[in-house]
Amino acid sequence: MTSLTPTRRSGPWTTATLLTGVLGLGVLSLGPTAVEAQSPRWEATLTGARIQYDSLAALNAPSVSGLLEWRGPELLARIGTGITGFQNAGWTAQGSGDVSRWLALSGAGGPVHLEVAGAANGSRHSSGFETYLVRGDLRLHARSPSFGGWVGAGVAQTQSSFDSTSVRGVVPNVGAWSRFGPVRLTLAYQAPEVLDRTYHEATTSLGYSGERLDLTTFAGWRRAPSGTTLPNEAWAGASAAVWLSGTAALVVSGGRYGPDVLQGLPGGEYVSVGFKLTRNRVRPAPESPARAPLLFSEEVATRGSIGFEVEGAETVEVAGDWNDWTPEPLARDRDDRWTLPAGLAPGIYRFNLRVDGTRWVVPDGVPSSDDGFGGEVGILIITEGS
Amino acid sequence: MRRGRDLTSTLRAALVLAGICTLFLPAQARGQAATAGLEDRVDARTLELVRPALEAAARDSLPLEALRAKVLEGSAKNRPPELIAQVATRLADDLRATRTELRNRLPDAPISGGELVAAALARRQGVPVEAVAEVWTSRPEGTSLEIPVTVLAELVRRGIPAQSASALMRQVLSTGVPLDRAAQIPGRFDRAAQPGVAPPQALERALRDLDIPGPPAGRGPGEGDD
Repeated sequence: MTSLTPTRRSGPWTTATLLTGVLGLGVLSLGPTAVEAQSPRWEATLTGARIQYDSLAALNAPSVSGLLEWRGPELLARIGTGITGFQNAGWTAQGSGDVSRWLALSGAGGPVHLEVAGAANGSRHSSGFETYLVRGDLRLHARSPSFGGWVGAGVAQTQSSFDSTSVRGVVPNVGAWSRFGPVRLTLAYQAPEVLDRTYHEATTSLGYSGERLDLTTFAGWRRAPSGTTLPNEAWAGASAAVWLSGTAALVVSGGRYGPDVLQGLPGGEYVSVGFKLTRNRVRPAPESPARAPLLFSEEVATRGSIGFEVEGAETVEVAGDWNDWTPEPLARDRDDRWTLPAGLAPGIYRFNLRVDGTRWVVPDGVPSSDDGFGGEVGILIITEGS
Repeated sequence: MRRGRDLTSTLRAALVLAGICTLFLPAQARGQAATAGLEDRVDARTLELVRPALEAAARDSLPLEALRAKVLEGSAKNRPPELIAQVATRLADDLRATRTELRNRLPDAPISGGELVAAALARRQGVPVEAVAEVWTSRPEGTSLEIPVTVLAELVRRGIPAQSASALMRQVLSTGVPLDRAAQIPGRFDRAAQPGVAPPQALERALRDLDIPGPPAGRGPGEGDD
């Protein structure tokens, strides 16, 4: 149940850091006065997970992750990294960072705060696929020692290796939390709007923090927008951290993640066992109101005009199988975006762009292969039909 | 009188020359056909070096368009003639070997030039020929397998086991999934392949997004059969 964190909510990476996310991001909702300053702080987690994604075979997925955190009266900043191996499926490395600044609007120690937050992450799979996400949020918080709430909105932008253009989205969100001694309850609602479609998602979590045990349960429900084939989804899970000392904990997690339409992540069931070391234990707190969406774009057009982004180019030409490798100048339709003339017949083509008359490149996001000449050649498929 | 003898000699020489030309015509015609379209585009040295590979390819009925395109690509990129010839020869060898291996498994199946190129590139990317050949077993009549084989290779590159990817392509073909939709699988896969998501799960997500049914139980994407 992460929110602003670039750590995503599905898979062993997130499974491994589920509690970490709850611990760290929950502080955002409480605000700086709710925790002691413990700066800097680090965590290292080694996890083994078993994941069963719907109809697929179960996978073993070991992972190792690390976190550095700086926390001050009005500031929280973190850097995280990790690598996850997949049984017969390569590995994924991730890096992330986020920062949150709290501004008191009703005087020092007052109940109203403005939270300004930003986050970014990137990842790379062993296949070469890369992706990044950046997000900014503004949230208005009102709180007392035992309860609070927020309303806000975020804007996010993402792009993967296969997308020629980035995609942006807006994520309005609202929520509330309450604490009853060692127990805290959080309710949240968000309505991400991406590519003219709005998703409605409600989540809740219930947590307990004792001397040696931190327990978090969560559940969620999402209504898919009309006009899609996506079903409504529900999910739930739990995570327990048994503290062996003030710096080491055994973390056990299990449950189900619902498919995430915004992040493009599948649903699945998981169990994981991990061992966490940290300099200072941070007690759980209500979680953050929104999680970082990974947005997805429509397919790159395969018929008619096809555009590529090439940064900093004065001229861009295209040469490929369809024009006998005779470089043709491309038109620039806006900054750094160059468009092929329409009218390519259906087929599978190999092609390159020539930048400024000298550099042969494959546009970002286009599948490529070794050209045999010491470079890469892109593959373009123009399909028949609609 | 002398002028008549000169004319006769000239005619005789012309006839001899014509005879010689006739003897060599088939080979020249083959060479011209194999290098058609290249003479005006590549330098003489490159043409000289690639001609044997292209002529051999023509004799073996390999798809010349792919070889010519590779030569033009190398020339456009100003690569050395020797390298261009080497690359063209290697591609011809790949096409020849792939066709032989496919023929051994599919003795009666038609294999178009485009399909052979796609299969050769898939093979070069590490897809076992067995997995490629299996796609032919589900080909609907009149359907080109260029896109299914290309998608198969792209999925294997992304970490999907070859037999699972092949099973998926057979399912796509046997259930009549439009190929323009099937061609979107790698792109949708890449969107789903985020941190913490293994390739089989990303494929599951891609198929769901595209409303493409997965293979039957026991041959589903993600089953580690390689």
